[in-house]
Amino acid sequence: MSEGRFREVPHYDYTILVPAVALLVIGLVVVYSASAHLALYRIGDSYFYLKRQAVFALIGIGFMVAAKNIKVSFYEKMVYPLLILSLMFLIMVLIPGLGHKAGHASRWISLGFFSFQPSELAKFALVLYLAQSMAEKKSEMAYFSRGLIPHLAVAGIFLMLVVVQPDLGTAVILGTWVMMLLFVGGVRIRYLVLLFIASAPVLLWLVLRASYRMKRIFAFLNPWDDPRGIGFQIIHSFLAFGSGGVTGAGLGDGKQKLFYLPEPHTDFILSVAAEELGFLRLICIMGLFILVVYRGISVSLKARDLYSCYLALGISSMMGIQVLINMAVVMGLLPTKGLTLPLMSYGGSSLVMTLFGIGVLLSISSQAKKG
Amino acid sequence: MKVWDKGWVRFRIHVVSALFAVGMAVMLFRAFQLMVIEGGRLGAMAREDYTGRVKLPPMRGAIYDRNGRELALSVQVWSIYAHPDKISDRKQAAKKLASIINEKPAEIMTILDPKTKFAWIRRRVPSSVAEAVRSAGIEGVVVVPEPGRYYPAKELAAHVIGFVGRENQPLEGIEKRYDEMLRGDQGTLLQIRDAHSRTISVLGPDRLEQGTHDVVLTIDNDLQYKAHQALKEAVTKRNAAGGHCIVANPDTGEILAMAVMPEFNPNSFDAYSSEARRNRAVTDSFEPGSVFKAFLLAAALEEGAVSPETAFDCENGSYSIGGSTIRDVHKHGILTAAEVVAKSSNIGAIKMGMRLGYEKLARYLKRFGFGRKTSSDFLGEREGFIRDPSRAKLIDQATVFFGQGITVTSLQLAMAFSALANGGKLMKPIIVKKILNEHGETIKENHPSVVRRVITSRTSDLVTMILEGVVSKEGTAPLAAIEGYRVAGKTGTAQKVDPLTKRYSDRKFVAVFGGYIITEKARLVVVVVIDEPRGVSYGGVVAGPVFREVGRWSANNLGMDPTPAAPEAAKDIPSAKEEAVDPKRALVLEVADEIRSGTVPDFTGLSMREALKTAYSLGLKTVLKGSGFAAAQEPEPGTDLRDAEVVTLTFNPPLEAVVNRSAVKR
Repeated sequence: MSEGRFREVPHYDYTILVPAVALLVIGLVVVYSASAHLALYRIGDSYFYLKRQAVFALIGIGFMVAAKNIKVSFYEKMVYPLLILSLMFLIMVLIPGLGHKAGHASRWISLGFFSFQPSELAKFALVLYLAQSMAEKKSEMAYFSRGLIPHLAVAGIFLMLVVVQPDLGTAVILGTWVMMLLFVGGVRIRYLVLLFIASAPVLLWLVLRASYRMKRIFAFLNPWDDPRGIGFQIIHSFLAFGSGGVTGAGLGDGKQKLFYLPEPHTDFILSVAAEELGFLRLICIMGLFILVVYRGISVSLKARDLYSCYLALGISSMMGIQVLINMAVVMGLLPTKGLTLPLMSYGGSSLVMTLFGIGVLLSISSQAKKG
Repeated sequence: MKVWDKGWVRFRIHVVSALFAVGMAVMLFRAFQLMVIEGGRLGAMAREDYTGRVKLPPMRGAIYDRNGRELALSVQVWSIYAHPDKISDRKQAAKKLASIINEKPAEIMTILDPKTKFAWIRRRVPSSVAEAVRSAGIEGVVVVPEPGRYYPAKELAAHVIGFVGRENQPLEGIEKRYDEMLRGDQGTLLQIRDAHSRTISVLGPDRLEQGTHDVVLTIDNDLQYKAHQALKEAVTKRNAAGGHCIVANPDTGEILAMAVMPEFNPNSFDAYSSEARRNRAVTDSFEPGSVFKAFLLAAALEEGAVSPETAFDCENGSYSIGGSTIRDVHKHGILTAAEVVAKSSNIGAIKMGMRLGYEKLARYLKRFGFGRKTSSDFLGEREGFIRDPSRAKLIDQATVFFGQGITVTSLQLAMAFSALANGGKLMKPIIVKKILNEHGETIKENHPSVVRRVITSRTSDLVTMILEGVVSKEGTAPLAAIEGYRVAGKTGTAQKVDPLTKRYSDRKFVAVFGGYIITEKARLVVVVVIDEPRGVSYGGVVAGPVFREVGRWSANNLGMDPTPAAPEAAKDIPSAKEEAVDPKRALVLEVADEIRSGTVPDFTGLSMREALKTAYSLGLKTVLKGSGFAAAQEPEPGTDLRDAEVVTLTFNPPLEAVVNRSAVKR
């Protein structure tokens, strides 16, 4: 489309950049709408979250532009230092005093101005490692010992550290994502099936031992049994979608963000968007996500080497999984899980790392064309 | 090496791609299902949830006295309530609230029962407290404006005005009777609420703007105050159980004051018993006693059964009838009809009543408004009781003649006395003068309305003349006399039926004085009832002074000119008051000088009342024939008074209107 016109200019892949920036801008608007009331009550400044998110967006765009201009081969040397660094962060989170608790979970490291979420960095470290390692092993990936064990070991350590935060949801998502990458990388399907079967009881045990996880499952299965209790969040998300209807309540006129939705500016940002913008505009938002993810996948297909291919696929599939799971959660198709919607939800670490990932995609895309 | 050369990688990427495609398709369908297919239902549920409907008790209209002074008005107050089920930290909330409203946290904790969805923390707080609570921003705690009701006159006319409850629901009096007008439409305020029931925005009132109306009473706040004070003083002084005092304009039927004891303050109505809040002037009927002789006299005169001069043997104070013995307080021999009333002889009254006949009296009493409700504006008004002639035994009839065995309300008495005062017309009592809409325009006005003519104005004048004797030194109520004004009235001291023995108590009485003040231009009726005074119980002594105080003050306040227009009347009135009533006494004591030197004057051309006045002042007894103006007299003018004891006057009937006018104005 726009490739022809902008061929000579800095080789930005506008089919990724434009929808990504569009989502970022829509996200800023909806974050403000969703958080103004809440911010006024909690902090006394209705612009609080908007201002911070705008700063993060600018930082993220900086990261994105930087990543665009860094050749992806540069990261190959960074794989192990990054792995070790993110492991250290994941361990630091668990140390009382260093980790910043929110609710029951320690997911952040407080840096004064903002809290850094190590699992966001871990995702990038993991995808770098997997891409580099799988590309290196190529056809040896089919072997159990070479193809599965090392990757499983590294990923397993990361997953464990995330599980003990505790953040089972993120661990499950990461696990699914790793399996997906291993599948693309050439690991035999029967190993993956075995892996899945083996992890099921562990997962079940983890759910059963924590009552709040059970509650979430029940809330997901029968939200209407206790609409004022455990079903409250998801029901109000339904109500947000329903209130939106075809054309929406109008920007700023949503009601479910008024403390009905638990986290209107983060996890349930899409519910607010749906209520205020309506079905037709929600389709557009979904279309933008589809565009970003599929352009990312097509970048991986066009990548100049296997490492770039896996990296591009890892980044776009990570985003795709997050988008799908967040949507599934807010529309009641999966149990409630604290997962943000990439590019739109409020959250510094997530936004910066997502934009950085897009920068990496842009870089791969531009190199592919050069090559 | 290009990635896509490796077919298997490419294939597997496409598999992942397809998985995403399926996933996104599911999401799109789910969004379509939630937003389009079920959108209407879910949207309606959402609205139900976030739309708060606040019932707006509208600002009730005000109640004014006849001069526009506020008797009841609506003010904005603030109330604090909570949704205890939505408060996560009840201890903290209770602590914060406690410090603001100055209450024990434990008390508030009990109010904040987490099982309840709604609980009032405190009603009607000042705006400073409301503001403090609001700025504290306590979860689940809401401050709402509420219209409150305030009665600036406090106890004054409280029994007439009534009051509203905590929810502004009308409970008594005019507040209740005219609630439909005062309250306007119940409005609903639609609000957007957040999940903690805090109001985010107001969608606006969902109300039909009908507006409220103000009610203007006929009550005159000043007169009401005086009636209240005088009555309160008397009730306190006599250690009485209660009392009522009504001031009315007999020409219009307007109630200018209606005071009731015991009093209550409608601003804190729940601190008083319902006994204290009852408007006894209409809800309590009592046996009126001798006051009733005024109406017996009026009926007997109207029917022509007696004349003022008709003599009755009062049997020296003891008379047996129907197997019972009736006694008079003072022993009397022969009394004229006028004297029977002035001296309040029960035996005389019985004989007068027997001459009239019970059936006729009962008919007249009903025509005077007794035995039925006077108006629909008073809640809980009693009808009173008149024994049906077919069921009245001789002794029953006899007691009715002097006002026992029959029950009336103070309001009925006031209206019946008004009929005596205004020339014979029974007026409908008016308590609501007019109703104003929200722009202050009168939308309804109650004009004076004559229920019926009961007696002719001639009879009315005659009765007035005779009743003026009651307040003379020789009458039963000299304490009710008011200097500078003509006063007619009648005392009553009725025995009450003891609720235990079902017999007349010899200790429980109702002391009554009903009467009216007459000037050239205006008249004023005052009825005073003191219930169960201790010690002295005579109507003239107990109720009479209240009548005088209220009457004098009211007459002055209303600018009633004490100077009579007719020059000769000016001279006559003071003496007439004293002498007219008791011709015998006058003859013996005061007229003695004139008798020695005087002659019979020329009566022709005088109205009946003027003639009577003149005759009485000279100690002459009169025999009146016809109606209108005196045309002939016997003996002739110039006859020595010592030779004339009785003067017979013949009146020519002119146009009745002329008579009325002259009789009334003079």
